[in-house]
Amino acid sequence: MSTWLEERRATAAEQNEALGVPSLSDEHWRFTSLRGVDFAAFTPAVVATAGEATGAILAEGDHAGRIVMRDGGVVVDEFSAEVSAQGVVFGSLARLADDHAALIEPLLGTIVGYDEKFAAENGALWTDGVLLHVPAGVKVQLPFHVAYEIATPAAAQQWRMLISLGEGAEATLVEEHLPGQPGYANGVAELQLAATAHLTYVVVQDRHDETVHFAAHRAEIAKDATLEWSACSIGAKTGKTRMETRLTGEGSTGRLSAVYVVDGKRHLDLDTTQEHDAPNAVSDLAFKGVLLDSARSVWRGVIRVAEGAQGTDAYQENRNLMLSPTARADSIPGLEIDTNDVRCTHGATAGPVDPILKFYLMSRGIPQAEAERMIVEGFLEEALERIPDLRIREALTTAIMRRVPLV
Amino acid sequence: MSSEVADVDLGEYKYGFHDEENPVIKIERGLNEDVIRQISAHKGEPEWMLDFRLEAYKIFLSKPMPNWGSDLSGIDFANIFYYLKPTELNARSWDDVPETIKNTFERLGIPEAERKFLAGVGAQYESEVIYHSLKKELEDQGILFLDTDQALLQHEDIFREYFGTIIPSADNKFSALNSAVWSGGSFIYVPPGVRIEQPLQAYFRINAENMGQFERTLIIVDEGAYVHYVEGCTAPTYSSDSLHSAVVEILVKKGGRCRYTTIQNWSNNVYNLVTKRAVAEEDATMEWVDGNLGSKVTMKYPAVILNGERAHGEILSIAFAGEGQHQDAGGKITHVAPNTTSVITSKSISKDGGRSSYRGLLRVNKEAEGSKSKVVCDALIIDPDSRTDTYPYINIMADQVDIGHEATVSKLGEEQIYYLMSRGLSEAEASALIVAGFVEPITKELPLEYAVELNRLIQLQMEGSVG
Repeated sequence: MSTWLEERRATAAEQNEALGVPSLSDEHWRFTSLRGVDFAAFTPAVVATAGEATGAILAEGDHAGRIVMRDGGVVVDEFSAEVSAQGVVFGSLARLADDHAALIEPLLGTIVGYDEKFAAENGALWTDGVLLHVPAGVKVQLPFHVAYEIATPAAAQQWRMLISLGEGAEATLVEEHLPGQPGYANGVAELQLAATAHLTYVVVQDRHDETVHFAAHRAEIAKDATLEWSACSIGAKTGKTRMETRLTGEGSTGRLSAVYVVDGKRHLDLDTTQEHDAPNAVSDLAFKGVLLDSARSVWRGVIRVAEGAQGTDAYQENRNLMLSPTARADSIPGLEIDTNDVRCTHGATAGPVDPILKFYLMSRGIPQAEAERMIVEGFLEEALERIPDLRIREALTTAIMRRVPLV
Repeated sequence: MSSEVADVDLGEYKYGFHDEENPVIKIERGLNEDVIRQISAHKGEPEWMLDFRLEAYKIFLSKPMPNWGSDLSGIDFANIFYYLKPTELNARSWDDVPETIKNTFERLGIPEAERKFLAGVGAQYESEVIYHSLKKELEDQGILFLDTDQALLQHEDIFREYFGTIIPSADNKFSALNSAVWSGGSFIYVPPGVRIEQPLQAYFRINAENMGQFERTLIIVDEGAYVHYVEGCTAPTYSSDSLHSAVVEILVKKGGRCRYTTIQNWSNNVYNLVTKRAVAEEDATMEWVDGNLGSKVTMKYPAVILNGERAHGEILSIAFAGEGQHQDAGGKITHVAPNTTSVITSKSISKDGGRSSYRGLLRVNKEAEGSKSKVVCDALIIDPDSRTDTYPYINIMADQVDIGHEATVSKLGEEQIYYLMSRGLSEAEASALIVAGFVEPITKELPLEYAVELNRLIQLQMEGSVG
């Protein structure tokens, strides 16, 4: 292993030692308790476990490259020769770490730091993951597909992903967290978009009902670059997912869309940022959730506009459909604005299925359960239709609606 | 009137003057059990109140400073005067108020306001209420309006029944501090079915340097009754800091209505850390109109707990943060009973490097089916050096509810300014007019005199603001 990598792990390990497990008195953890999580019950997964991953929603069709990580290592590491010939780098992060140090060194741990417990832990302990680099001017048409799966019960998987797009580069990456076995997952994804680059990033979290899932995804978006980020969360028992965007270049765009259906006793916690550090950038966040049973969702999102980021246009909304009296939704939108020439707006709503809408549909002969499903689908569609790829959109819709029971 | 306006140019703080101190009692700086015993002894209050104070003091010591909101590191608890009695008597007639204090309040326009339209007036100077009056016909209806110290001595039974029940000492560090050293404030009881059509007003003035003012207000609005209480606050400008930490508890019983209006205009060296909470029972209405223009730091989030079915809570909050100021204001609503409704409207303005933050909590408990709430926060940010934040917490634990929240941040519209200037207004006048329009949803809820005063203050604040 290279020295710089060892040093970085050591820094992260030190931080990990210093930081305790967050408690409810930490502002970002006020609504997510980790007291019931027995961290000692999980065994670090160090190597790959052979076998086939199952339960992917978006794996069908052609891909520019494909990676499956089972437990601690990668078991599928495929990459189109044609795309490779264009100078694109894609594959297992552990395998490429030495050969592509020039790509990795300036990126790893620099976008997601080690100042938060789980990011620090991952920085010290990550075993494998993905590297994608698209050089300047290269446009990759086919999507890349990445799947993470816990194959051994009680395994602790530490995945890491680096994506860097050069100037004007274009790519689509789909990242799926498969149901697999119950265990512990903790990952970090660092995304860097150079000027005028365009990345479509789709993340599906469908972990096992008993899995504890932590992830920190963070993107830096340079001048006139665009990130189209869609997330779908329907799995895991508890945990926290950070989705952060930092608009570093003038005229950049970050669009975040998420849909979630939380059922049973699931606890979903999404923590987002839209950080405007440059003038005339646009960010737009739309999160839509359906809550069933005794499930609970927490969304905390902040729009931060730095001094000098004049002409900012930022939006965030969180809408929750409450389908059960014992479900609970927490929305914590936030605006921190340090300059004056901005347009920042946010909205949050929570409510039941609109009775008038339901009545109308039923008056047209649609049975009640069907009417409710139609309303739920229509509600989620507003976020789903922001996914540019039709095939992905349809597959996701089907998978999500499967979680909404016929009442 | 015109001469008075003439010496208030360029938005200077009009109330920054101070009188020579001539206290009857001034307990040494700093806080310890002995200081609390001295306060209690001076007041000749019952033993249980001393025990209550000492217990609260322990809680105060055990609680950490809040690590959120504003920067409170500048507060030096050891440097504050916790009790200062400016005069021996609590006057019922304005003529009996000592000359210097009377002059102060004359300059602040208090008795004038009373003559015009108020049903009752209280005035607190440092730690003690020095003047209190209530119209005779209201007294005859069984209304109680007196300072809280007198209420304890004269109406101990009703006082003890409610005191500290809505905001316990342990609620937060500053409610504990207030509970330990409270002095003054208003006590209001409105009997069933009695509606007081004109507002009751209290005026709070800090005069001494490094003063701590800890008034305690308790309002009980009985079934079907109505009261509008208005408070104003000012202090002299000093180079070192003062502390104002009040606790206000309100109970609005079945079908009652209470409106509580604050125009806070402390000088820029006052830390203003206030806990205000009301409980609304069945079909009751509680309204907070909370205007924060002064102080160095304000942390204040008036709360309504909607405990009875169909209760309604409303919070109108306006904050204006200028140079060196942080207004961390907002509101909290908790829907406990079914079919309760609430509205929070917040308007904030930041200017000259000031920071205004809206911090709110909207909570809908599981049992609060059929509840509706709307939260709207708008922020106006005048120049690039200023800052605005919005932190609206929303916790929903029920399904048959309808909750909406919206917030916007914008700057002064160039087109609007251009249009007004094309009609002959100066740029400053145009800006002030736009700001006045922006806060209009709040000002239209104020009694006319206060609306005029608020608009005038905004106009002063806005002068020279556009570059």
